[in-house]
Amino acid sequence: MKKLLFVLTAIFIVQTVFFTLSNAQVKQVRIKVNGLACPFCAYGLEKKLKKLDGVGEVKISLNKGMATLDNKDNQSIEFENLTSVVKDAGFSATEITATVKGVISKSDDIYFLSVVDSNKKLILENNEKLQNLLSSLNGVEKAVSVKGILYQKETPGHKSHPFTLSIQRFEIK
Amino acid sequence: MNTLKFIKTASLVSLYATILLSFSPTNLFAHEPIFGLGPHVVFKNGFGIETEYESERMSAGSETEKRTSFHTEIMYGVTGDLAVTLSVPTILGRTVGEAVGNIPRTGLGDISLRTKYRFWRVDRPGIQDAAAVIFGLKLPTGDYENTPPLGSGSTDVLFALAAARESRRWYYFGNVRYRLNTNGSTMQFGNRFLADVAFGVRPWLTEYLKPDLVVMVEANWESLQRNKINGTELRDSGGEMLFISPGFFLTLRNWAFKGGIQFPVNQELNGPQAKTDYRFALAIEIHI
Repeated sequence: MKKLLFVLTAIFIVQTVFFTLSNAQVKQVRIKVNGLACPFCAYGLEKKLKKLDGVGEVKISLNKGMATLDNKDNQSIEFENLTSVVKDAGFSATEITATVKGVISKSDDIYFLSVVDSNKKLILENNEKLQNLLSSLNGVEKAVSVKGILYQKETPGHKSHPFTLSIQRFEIK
Repeated sequence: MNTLKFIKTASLVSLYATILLSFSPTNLFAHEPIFGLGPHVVFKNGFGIETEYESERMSAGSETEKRTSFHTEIMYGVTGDLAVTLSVPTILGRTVGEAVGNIPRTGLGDISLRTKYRFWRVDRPGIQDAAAVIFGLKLPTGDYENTPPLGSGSTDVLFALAAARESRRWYYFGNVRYRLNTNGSTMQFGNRFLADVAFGVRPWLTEYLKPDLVVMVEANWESLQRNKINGTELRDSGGEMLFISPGFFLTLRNWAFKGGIQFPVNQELNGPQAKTDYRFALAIEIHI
């Protein structure tokens, strides 16, 4: 009986994880880029951004100082290296806004959003928008689409800094 | 060879050298001055390839000297702030003074290598301020034993410091360069100090993937030390020159077309020397 319970629990966990991951996506990213002055120089930025996993179309607006990335083939946009890629192109990324589809989970009073087809997760900043979202979900695990500012919160004593999403808007699927 | 003929020949060789060395190939980045240098580099792991046509005419009395050449430059972005450039000049033709005959020559010039490190950069919305140091090495790959020579026969080094502000509308550039020339065969060309300022404007603020035009005007100052033959300074060599140089860049995505003309406004040369009438450069460039 214990064995059966263990197996059923394992199946439930695996299914939950797969459900979460298969519904998770970084669909669009908008990067505020400082230093963008000339169209010719922007080519390097376009080329670098297009090489990132999951990136389809890249639109660059010089007058707005903005690069907009759309995902391709329903893939999730690789977001981890955006800042360094912009730097390699010769510019500075000042703000990254991402539209992410995923499922919220909670662990040790921290809320997460699973986002890519791997074990990577985003920490959700505990703000008013998140509380509104959680109230709307009312404890039901559903796929949500959130748009917010993506940043890395530096943690003293840690080499890697997890990505955090500060929700600005949300939509419950 | 009598003394008078030696001096005349030496002066002419010195003159060719002046033409050869005063020819400052444009640097490889479209949104930089045509004749000066700027702090910009190509993106990390990116390549820039430029082919440039250059022409210069000098004259002394009824004697006119012309030189045309092609430069091919390949730049590679080691990082987002460090680039290396290989410059391969091909001399297409040189028509020189009567003492050595009007012999047009074609061939490889002196290949040079440059590294540029952008050590300072401040990015703001639509504005980039930057400064870079440049170190260059010119190798004696051009034939210098036949007349007229295609190279200087010496290994020379270049040090430069460049700074710029580039915005959506306005461009400001400034740089200083020092070229240290070593002893080649019998001839040692004088060291050169150059300073340039440039000012540019983009009349229409076009977006990415649209044709983009920038017009620019440069002021180029050059100070040349006297050349030496077998350790003896040539009296009629060296001096100072100031040019005003209008130019343009026209770009579309990763393609650039640029050009400019240097007009001399002041030439204070040591002794009777041929003076520059104009220098002209036209280039096409691609970043990949």
